[in-house]
Amino acid sequence: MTEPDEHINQLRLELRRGIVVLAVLSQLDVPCYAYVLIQRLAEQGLDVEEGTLYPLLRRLEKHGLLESEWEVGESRPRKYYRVSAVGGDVLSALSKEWFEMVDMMHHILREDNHE
Amino acid sequence: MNELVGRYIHQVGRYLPPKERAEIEAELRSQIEDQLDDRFEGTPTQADVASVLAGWGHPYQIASSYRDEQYLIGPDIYPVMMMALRYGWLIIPAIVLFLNIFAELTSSQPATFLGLVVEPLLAALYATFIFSGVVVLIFAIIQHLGITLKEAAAPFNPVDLPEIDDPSVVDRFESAFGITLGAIIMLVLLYWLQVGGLTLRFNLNDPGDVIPISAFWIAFLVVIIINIIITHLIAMRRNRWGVGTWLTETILETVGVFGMYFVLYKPIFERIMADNPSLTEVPLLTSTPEIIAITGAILTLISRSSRFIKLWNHRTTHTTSFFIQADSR
Repeated sequence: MTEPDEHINQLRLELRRGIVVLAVLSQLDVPCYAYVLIQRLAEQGLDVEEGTLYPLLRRLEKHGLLESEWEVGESRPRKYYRVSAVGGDVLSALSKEWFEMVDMMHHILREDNHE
Repeated sequence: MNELVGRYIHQVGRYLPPKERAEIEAELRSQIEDQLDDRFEGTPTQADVASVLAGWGHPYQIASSYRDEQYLIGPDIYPVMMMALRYGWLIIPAIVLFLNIFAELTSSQPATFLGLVVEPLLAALYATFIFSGVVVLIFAIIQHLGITLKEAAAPFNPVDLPEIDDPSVVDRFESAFGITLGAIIMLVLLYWLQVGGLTLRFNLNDPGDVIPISAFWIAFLVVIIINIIITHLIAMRRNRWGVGTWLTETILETVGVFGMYFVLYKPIFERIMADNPSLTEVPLLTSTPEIIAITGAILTLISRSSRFIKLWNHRTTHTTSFFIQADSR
C-alpha cells in the first residue's frame, strides 16, 4: 500500500470512530441484538465490522449509555441492547453537535473558501 | 454448536479477562450463529464456517478489541520514569564502578586487570540492569494503582511556569535524589566510624580488612552531609534557591569534596604505596591524593559558581523590575 493510502486509511478510521458510536446510539431506541444492528447499519450505508461493533456495544453498556437483556425464548439466547436514559441524553447532545459540525466542516471545506 | 465455532470461541476466550469471559463467549457464539443462519441455509459446511470466521479475524485480535487501552507505563508517568532512569543510569554505574575498583585496590590481594576493569564493568552493567528493572516495576505499580502524580493533578497556571534558565528553580527530583544519595553515603560513613576505618564488608561483627582512618574526619564529613541535606530541604521548602542557600551549598560541597582527601584518597593511596613500594619512585604519583582532592574541590567550586553568579544577577534584575513595577502604579 502506498503512503498516501495508508494515511487515508488511518485518518478514515479516526473519523469513523466517533461516527459509529453516534450511529449505534441512534439505532437502539428499540431493543435490538447485535447482528440485526449490523445489518440495519449496513442497509443505511454504514458498514461496521463485527470485531468493532460487539466490543463497542459492551463498552457503551459499561459506561451506562446502553442497557442489555438476554432473550432466551428464541431459537438461541440473544442479547438485546437498547439505549439507556443517560444514553438518550448523550445522543441528543451529540446529534446537535454533529449537525453543527457538519455545517461548520461544510463551510470550511467549501472550495470557494480556500485562498 | 458447530465444532469449528466452538474451537474459535475457545481461542478467543483464552485472551479474555476471566470475569467477562463467559458472557463475551456467549455473545460471540450467538452472533456467529446468527451470521451463519443468515448466510447459509441448512447446515453450513466446514468451508462456510471457516469463511465466516476468517471475516471475524484472528481470535487474539477479537479478544484484544474487547479490552480497553492498557499500559504498563502510561504516557502520564512515562516522562517521570525516564527522568528517574536517566539519573540512575548516570549515578548507579559510577557508584558501582567506584566501589568495585575501590574494593580491588584496597584488598589484601594484588590488583589484577580482571578485578580492576572487567569485574567492575560487569557489576556496573548488572546493577544498572537491576536498577532499571526495579524502577520500571515501581512505575508499573503506580500505573496499576492509578496514582496520579501531584504535579500533573495540580491546577495549571501558566504564570507560575519557571522562567527559562531561572537559576533559582529547585529541581525537586534532583534534590530528592541528592538527599537520598547523601543519606546512603552518611550511613556508610557512620558504619566506618563504628568499625574504625574503610571497609566494604558491611558486617559489624566481622568488618574484614579495615584501613584505619581518623574518626574526626569521618564525623566531619557526616556533619557536612547533614548540612547539605538541610540546605536542600530548605530550598525545597522555599521552592527556590537563593544566593544565601546556594552559597552555603557550594561551600559545604567544596569542603566535603576536599574532606574526602582524609577519608578516602589519602588512606587508600597509603595502602597502595605500602603494598607496592616501587610506586613511590614514580614522580608525582605520591602526590596523587592531594591532586585529586584539590582538583575535585576546584571543579566543584567552578561548576557551582556559574549558578551563583546567575543567582546574583537574577536577584538584582528582579529587584529592579519590582521597583519599576512599584513606580508605575
